Amino acid sequence: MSLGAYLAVSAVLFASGLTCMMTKRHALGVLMGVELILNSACLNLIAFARYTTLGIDGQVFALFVIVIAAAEAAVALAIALNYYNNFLTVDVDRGDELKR
Amino acid sequence: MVADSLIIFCLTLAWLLPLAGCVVISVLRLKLSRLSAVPGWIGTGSLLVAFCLSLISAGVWLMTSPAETAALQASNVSDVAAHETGNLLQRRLVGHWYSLAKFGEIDFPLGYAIDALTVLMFVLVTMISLAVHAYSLVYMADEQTESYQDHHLDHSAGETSERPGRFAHFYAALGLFTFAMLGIVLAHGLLQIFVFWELVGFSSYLLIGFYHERRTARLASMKAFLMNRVGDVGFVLGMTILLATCGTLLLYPVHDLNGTTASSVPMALPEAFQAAVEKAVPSQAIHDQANLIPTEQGISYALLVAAGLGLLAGCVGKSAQFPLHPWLADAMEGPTPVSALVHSATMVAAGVYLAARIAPLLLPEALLLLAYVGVVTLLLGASMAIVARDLKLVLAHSTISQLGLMLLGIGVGAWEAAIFHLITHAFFKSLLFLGAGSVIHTTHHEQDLEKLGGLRAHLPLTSLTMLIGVIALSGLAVPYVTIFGESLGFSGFHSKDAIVSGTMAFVLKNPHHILLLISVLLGACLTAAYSLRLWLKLFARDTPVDPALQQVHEGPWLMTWPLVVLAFFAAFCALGGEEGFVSTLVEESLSPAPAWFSDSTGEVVSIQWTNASERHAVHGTAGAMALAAAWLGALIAWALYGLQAISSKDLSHQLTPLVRLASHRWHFDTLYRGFLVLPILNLARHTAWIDRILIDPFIDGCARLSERFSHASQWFDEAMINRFFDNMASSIWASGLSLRKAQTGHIRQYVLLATMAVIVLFLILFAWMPGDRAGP
Repeated sequence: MSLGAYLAVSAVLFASGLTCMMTKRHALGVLMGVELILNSACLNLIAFARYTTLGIDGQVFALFVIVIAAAEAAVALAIALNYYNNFLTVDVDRGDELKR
Repeated sequence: MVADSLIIFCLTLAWLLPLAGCVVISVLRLKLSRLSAVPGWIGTGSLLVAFCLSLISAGVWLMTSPAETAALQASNVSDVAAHETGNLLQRRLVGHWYSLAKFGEIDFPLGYAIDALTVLMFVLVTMISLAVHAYSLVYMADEQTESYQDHHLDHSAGETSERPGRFAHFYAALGLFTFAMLGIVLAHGLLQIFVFWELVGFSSYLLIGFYHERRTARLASMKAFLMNRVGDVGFVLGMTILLATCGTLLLYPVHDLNGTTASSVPMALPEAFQAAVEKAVPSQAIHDQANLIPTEQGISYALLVAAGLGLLAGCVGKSAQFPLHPWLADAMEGPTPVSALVHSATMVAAGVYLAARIAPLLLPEALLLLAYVGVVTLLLGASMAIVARDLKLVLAHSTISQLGLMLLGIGVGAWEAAIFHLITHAFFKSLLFLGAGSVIHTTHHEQDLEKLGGLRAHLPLTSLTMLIGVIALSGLAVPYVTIFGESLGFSGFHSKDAIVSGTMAFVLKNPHHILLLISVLLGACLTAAYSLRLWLKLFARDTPVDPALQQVHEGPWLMTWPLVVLAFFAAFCALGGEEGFVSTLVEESLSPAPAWFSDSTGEVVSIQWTNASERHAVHGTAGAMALAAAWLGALIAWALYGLQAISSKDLSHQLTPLVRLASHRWHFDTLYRGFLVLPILNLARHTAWIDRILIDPFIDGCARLSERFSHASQWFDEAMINRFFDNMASSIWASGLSLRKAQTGHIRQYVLLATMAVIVLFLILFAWMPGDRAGP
């Protein structure tokens, strides 16, 4: 196994996360895309920690990312709940009020 | 000490009260209806309190005896300046309230100088002003209306006869007038006197021009104002010279509260002036050097004479003396109570008062000139009074002539006699004016002596009080009869005697000025004649000449009581003559004669001055001569108008040129009109013409040019600057609108766009980043 393989997996994860964010209309789907992207970044950090001189710093960084991801998931779920309360749906395309 | 501060407090309050009344009335005027009599009561009330305060301070003054003052002085006490002068002890409270300005050594403070004369003048002024205030409550009552009908207007000149009444206005101006006069009396420096001097002029302008719908009243007030200004130019010049030579304008030295020694007290004018005179350079020597700048030796003597003459010019203007006398007769245009005030205690009295106060600053030349000015005015005024047909005009000319007598008194060095006469004159002249006002009021503004007459039965009180006034004015007395050691004569007899004896003593020492004595006696004769003529014309016959006057009767008590009170004082205020109460007080307070006064040091003229004892020695002779002259005049008047033994018409035919000259007021008005008024009007007209021809077009051109320029600038603004900014704004607006389309509100679209942007950025980075292209 080499660094390239990890990076490839990470790239695939990132691409699928992005695609997920762009295509899903369901708010929780968008949230899943965000999680995928975060995890791809995590994987990158771990891989660099293992194969380059980055060392332990990369792993610590990954831990931070996981913690922040958890916090972010809590906030995002709260937003989704409120969104539902206001619009009786979780379709992100229906929430375009800021346009005005 | 307590007494002193009480006097100072009382007089200051009495001085400020009329002003307070004036201010209150001016403010209340906006709220009150024109029908209200409240302003009159406010004014009268403030004067009543002021009068009481003056009386209190006079009482305190008299109770604190000179001996006590001397003891205080000996123990080095503060602001009592007592000088031992002969056997008289001068007592004077001098102090500062506030310093207006200080330029190095020269200080301009506001302060007070109180001596016996000040207290006396305060009582006099507030009393007469109070009488006038009370009297005006009735006399001016017809002003309490929304539409006052003015019957004296000249309708042909297009003057409208209806106007709102001005009762409050009248009382405000009266209060201001009294305040200004009291200010002169209280002031301790020439500058402060000058301020109130001008305020008197201004408020008299307001009062003389009270009926300003009448053209004559407007002209009269202007005339009074302008003629006073002519004199005031001299006043300012005199002050300037004094300030330059003496370095101070204070009349009396101020002792500060620590009771410092005399050396640290700044010199006052009399001493400083005396020092300047001693160092003065003969004017001939200065003339050779052809400059008037003060040298090390001293200032030119001529300049010092000029200082005195300048101050006297102010007095001459204010006291209506030759050649500035015509304004006083015209000042009759004001309401009659105002005339009573102007002619007795306030305005014209200020001139004589100041002349007496500055007498130590007058050099022999100035004094002699003053004596001659006085004597000329005495005769001029008397001659005009004897032919005048208007009731008030007789009194006005009489005032001019009596003021001439007072200035003559100052000129011959008998200034305490002059002030004595000023005080007695104030009483009987205000009495006569208020009596005249009573006649005028009850006869509905009839002032022509030929139409009035025979009013004695209808106006008993007025006729009696005016008889007292007339006798006092003419100085009549019963010769060689005394009751309780008093000669049988009213106040004018005593004071006139004092001046005549002063003149006589002067003439005895300087025989070539005999003309002064002859003129004074002639003046006494004429005075008796015209004053008796006035009374006989008004009251002699039993029935009115004019049947329209049958219904005439006395006015209400507010009009008659002032007459009675003033008549009492006109009769008895000079009790005791020159040893009497009033005269002693006056004598006590006037400055002692300067050292150079006893010997004749004049440069141009040489004069022997007299002293009080010399004057007293000739008192008997002088009094007898004056009395004889007065009786002669009275008998002539009696023969002409009382008995009608001689026809007055025939007599005036015999003396046609003289009568005509006098009734045209010696053509002074014509003279001034020809030589001053018309040339000045012409000059004004030509200046106006130059204005129209040259200056107006120039200004118009400038205006037009700037108008053009602003038009051009407006075009530039609109076409260039505004359009530029408008275009810029609209293009920004348009771009904003177009950018708005990108904001769809679809989150997924934003994500897509962001992704695309990142990709594009990466592409650009990889395409353009130098160096790293090769990669690993």
